[in-house]
Amino acid sequence: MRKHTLRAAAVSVAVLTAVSLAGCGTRSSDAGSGSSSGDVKTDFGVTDDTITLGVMSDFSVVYGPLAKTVYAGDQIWADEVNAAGGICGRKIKFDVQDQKMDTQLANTEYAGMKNDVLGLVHLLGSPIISSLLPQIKADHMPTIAVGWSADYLGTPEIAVLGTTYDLDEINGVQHLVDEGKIHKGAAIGHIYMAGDFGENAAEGAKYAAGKLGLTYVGKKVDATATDISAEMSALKAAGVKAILVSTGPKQTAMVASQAPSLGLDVPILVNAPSYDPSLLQSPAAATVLKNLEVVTSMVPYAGDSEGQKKIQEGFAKVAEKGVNPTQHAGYGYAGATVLGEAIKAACEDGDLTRQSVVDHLRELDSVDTDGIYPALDFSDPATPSSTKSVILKAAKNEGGLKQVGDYFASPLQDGYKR
Amino acid sequence: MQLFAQQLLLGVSLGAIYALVALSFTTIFQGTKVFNLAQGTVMLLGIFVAAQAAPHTGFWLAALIGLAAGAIATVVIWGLTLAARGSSHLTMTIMTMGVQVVLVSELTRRIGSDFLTTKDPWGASVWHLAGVGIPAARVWAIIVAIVLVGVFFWALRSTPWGAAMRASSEDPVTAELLGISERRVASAAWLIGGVLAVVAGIFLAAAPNPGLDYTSHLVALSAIPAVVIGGLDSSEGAVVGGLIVGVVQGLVTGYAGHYSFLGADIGAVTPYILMVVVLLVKPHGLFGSKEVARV
Amino acid sequence: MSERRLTTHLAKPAAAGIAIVVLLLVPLYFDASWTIIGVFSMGAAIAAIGLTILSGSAGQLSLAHAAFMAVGAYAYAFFAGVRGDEHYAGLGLPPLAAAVLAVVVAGIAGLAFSPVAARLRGFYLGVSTIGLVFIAQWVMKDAARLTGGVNGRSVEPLTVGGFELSGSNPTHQLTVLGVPFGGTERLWYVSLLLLLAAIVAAARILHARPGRALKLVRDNESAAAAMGISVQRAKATAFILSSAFAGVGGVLFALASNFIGSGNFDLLVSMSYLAMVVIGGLGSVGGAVAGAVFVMALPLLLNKFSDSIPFLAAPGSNGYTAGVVAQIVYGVVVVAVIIGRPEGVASFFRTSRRAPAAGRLPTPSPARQTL
Repeated sequence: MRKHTLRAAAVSVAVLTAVSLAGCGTRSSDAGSGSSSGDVKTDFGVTDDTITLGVMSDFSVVYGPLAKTVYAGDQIWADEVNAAGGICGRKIKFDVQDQKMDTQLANTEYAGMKNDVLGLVHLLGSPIISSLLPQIKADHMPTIAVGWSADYLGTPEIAVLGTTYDLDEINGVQHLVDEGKIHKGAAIGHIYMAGDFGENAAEGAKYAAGKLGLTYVGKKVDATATDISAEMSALKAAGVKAILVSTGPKQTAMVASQAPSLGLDVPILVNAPSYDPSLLQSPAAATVLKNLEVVTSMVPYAGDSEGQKKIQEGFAKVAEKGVNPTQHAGYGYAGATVLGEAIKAACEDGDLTRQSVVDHLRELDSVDTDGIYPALDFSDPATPSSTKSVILKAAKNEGGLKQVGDYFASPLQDGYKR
Repeated sequence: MQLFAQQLLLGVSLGAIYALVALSFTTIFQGTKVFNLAQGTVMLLGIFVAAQAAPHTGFWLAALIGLAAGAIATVVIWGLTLAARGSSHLTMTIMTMGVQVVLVSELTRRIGSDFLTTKDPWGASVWHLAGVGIPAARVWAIIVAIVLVGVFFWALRSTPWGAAMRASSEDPVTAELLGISERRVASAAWLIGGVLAVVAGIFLAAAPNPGLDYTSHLVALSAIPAVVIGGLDSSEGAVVGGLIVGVVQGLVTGYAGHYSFLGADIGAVTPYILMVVVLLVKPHGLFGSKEVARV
Repeated sequence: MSERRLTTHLAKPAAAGIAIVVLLLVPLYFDASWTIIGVFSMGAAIAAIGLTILSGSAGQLSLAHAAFMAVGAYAYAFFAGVRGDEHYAGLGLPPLAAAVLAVVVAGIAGLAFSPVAARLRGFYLGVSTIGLVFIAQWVMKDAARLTGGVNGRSVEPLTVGGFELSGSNPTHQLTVLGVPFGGTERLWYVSLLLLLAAIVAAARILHARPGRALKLVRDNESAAAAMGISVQRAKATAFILSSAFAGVGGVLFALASNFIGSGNFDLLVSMSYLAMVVIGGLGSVGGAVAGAVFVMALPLLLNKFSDSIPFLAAPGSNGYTAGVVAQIVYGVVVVAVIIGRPEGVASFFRTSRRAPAAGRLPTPSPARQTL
């Protein structure tokens, strides 16, 4: 053994010396820092004729179907911008990566794309965002997070579009009371997913229930839960008069299909990621159509506002066969619009570096996303860009949802602190 | 009390489904000493095929097609293990894991966000027993499980195949000397294993569940404690283990709110804790035979 | 010594030497998008060596390897974690000490499980370790102060005397031959050093007394006992060694991704480790390394080249994307290796005169089965 080691060491030294003497060129100069392209200062992801933006999403696992429609929204925006000559005279290009909710894969992909992109226009998944956060900060990477968790707030580089889950829940519970669907003293059930989405929603729901004199019965379920009948019977035993759902569409379907068998003919109020139009193809369809509402800050796919029409027209062109439209195409479109506004402002300032884009993103205090969202304010990284919500009802249309009523914000929000 | 009755009933019906899955594991294990880790995926494949057929053929024919698909899948996997002859049974078991990876990747790709349903005749209808509601599909799950388990045990005791199966499970050498065809026993075991898994899948896809999705193959993992608690090579053990796991899981989840310090997943993890405890006391499960441990 | 034997004698160390040199030079020529794949692969290789000691040499099938990796990873995050942090518990130990302690804790976890393992054989051991994975998942998800719950927790970079050896934004700059060395490049050398140490250590263990004792226990317990080997102790040793190696792999994984969550250590991960050692050839250290690199790097590389490989569908489509193809290839390779080369790829490199002593799980004769 020892002989072998010695010999190996000798050979290593010899080869190492040879290589060093040969003086092969190493990758001593990486592209990037401090160059300039044309008339503006640039660092990463910008050439004379293109701006490259990263898309890092889960296209295959938990959020696969949702992510595909968000990405379709990104593409609709890029097509529109490019048809109008691009931003700063440069066309928009995407570098698309599928991280499959695997932090290991995401780290590898991030390392591969970080020198080639100006920002991330679509970054999905709490574990992924948490894992990449130190690098996003270190690289000053302007990033649009997909999702509404309040945990994403507080980082200048990361923008969250619209109202966070906790505020959505406060608005949602207020709506149930205002509509007379539940009354003071009644119990309200909440099935929520372990993790920041569900737990953030639970914070808001618990707070609102307390303020409105309701008994809050929360049941945390795992993201992979395959059977929630026990949790549902516990809600039944507590005599709940409404059920909040903050999970994936699969558990929403379970709630909707089990509620009738337990005699729970009550309103079901869910968050945007908890709904998928495929629920209307499931055996739970009747209950969904009758009792389910979505509380979110984003308008549905169906509708005739300017932004909605643009997305509807664009969707058919960009989406692959078999991908059905959902509301989340709006998220992709609006998210890209916000990043695009920041890039435009940075360009006008003559500085297309990442830091400059982040700075200009934080100067946007009233972004108009063609009516997909209410006006969004990004000036404070620690507060949500909106506090308003809108109620959508399940419907047999494209995207499976229709808007009922206008944007509103519960006065209870004033006393709410995380 | 009503919560208890409700949870007990749901637990028993879930246990009946677990028992079918567990029986599908043990049957294959008895026949060939291979623990088919792809069993959950076989179930998902069967339901996937049935769900494709159901809109055209209606439930009953679709179910038959699904059962056939499951049976074909297990027999193909058996063929692969035969190709690896000379490897130990543990190595063959690891091979079924490879099969599982391939099947899951392709099924996940095809299923996407869909819920697979077989258009079963029970729909969302509910039966009320003593003031407790239970979905009709779950009542039928219990009935079908009882019938199938009954037929299975009758066949095991009273048919030539059953005698051959028991003989080669207990003593393969003597069985072969007596002229019992190992291949026929094995192929029947795998075929039955596939069919039982898909039957369980049909009930899992029915109310109160919204259908199966691409992660549903993981349900088979929940049946593993049932298999181990009962004993890997025991049919009786599979049935008893399935019921124990279903009831324990149902009751623990139902009352988990009272013990919130145990966390959200306590219902899901209890069967595994129970399994380790049982193994510490009885290293071959409740009904397992000692010989298997030597493999 | 004949001339032929002399060349074969020199060939091995020479090949090892060249390999080491090439690996030392990689960060000079390839950027972090490559070296990170290497870091993950080397971490996996160390953990896989641990599993091959347990399953290959000691004949104990374990599907709990990811659980032991998790123990190492979370223990490191806890020991090195900032004291008094509002989200996570931490002891604020120096990271190097934290890393060593984490490996010790992983070894102790292995020791703690060995009484259960000692009572169980074959399949029962294999499936009971599945239970261990689920119990570990439960702890990871619900001991939120310690683990960050379902969201996971961030990991402090490794430092030696204040100098960072990992992390996304080291404060001390380091430039070698004009190449700036960030956290990933530094971690590359740490991983390489640990991998070499792991290979040497495993080879010594397996070819010396402890390894022979393990193999004897695997092949014939009563004979081993008759020769004065304590079966219990041999099995416990195998579990301790295996989980300590897993702990090293877990710490490296945590350092490479700056963050750990329960999803990084689930049953699928455990299964992939079993696949690594089977592909490589059970009991073979070199095979474990090769298997680990294959299973770990294949999806990452396919993904990296997905743009330039024509038959791959674009990410975000319903077709055969790099991710799906990598999964299918990995599954098919497991099946194909077991059918075609039950002793794993390691058997390609084994000369016929050294018959495969290690290599497969014990296959008792049918007669013994009935005893």
